[in-house]
Amino acid sequence: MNPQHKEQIRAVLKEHARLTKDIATLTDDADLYQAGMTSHASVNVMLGLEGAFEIEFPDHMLKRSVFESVQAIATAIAELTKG
Amino acid sequence: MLSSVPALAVPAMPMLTMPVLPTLVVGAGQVVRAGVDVVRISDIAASLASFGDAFAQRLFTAAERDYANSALDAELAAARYAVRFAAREAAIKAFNLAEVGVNWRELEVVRLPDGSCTLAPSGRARAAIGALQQCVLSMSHEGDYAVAMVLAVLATNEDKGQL
Repeated sequence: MNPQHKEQIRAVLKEHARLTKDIATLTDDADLYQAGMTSHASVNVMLGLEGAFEIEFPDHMLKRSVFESVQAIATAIAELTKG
Repeated sequence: MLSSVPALAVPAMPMLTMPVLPTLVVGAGQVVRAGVDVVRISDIAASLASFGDAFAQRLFTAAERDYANSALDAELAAARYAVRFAAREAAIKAFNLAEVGVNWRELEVVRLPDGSCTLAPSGRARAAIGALQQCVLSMSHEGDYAVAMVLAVLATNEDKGQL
């Protein structure tokens, strides 16, 4: 996994997730929904990630769990950017 | 006549077997599921401003966009998008689709000639919902808030104890 990805993910989350806590204080495994991310904010995060990484999330990845943590997002992006 | 209205029979259910989802057993082989969602219209307006067409095209069908964009001003257009967004989230809850992975456009809100709206699931979303017998959608907006509720009657698969 590209180590820069998590920093880019955190930057997108800071801009779009509308968390009630500073993203810098959350671990990679922290539950973003518990940290205040709404379903609407998760859509903004998805669109922000697509712009930042020049990817498109396929329908089967449009699940709550794919966007629930920095780690989960990083795993999904690694899958979409491999090869 | 009141006597013609079917009574809503709610069988006693032990706490340990209560479903996690908001589900009401209404009779043999049938359950009702509910989903509700509320969203700030200003948040949807901000998404439309930030992401432009990408936001609307990703979430809403062409017919929904045409209707929303036909509003006389941007505020009403945002409200129309917001209630439709809330309808999708309510449907995802009612149909337990959060972990299925569905395209939001497959949970379309269809506006009928009389002005009422209904939900028209299609594609992967429709397949995942299963034995849907009836679906009721109600939407409203006031001030900065839009709300939607979905009630769905589904047939149960009694052999497997699943929907």
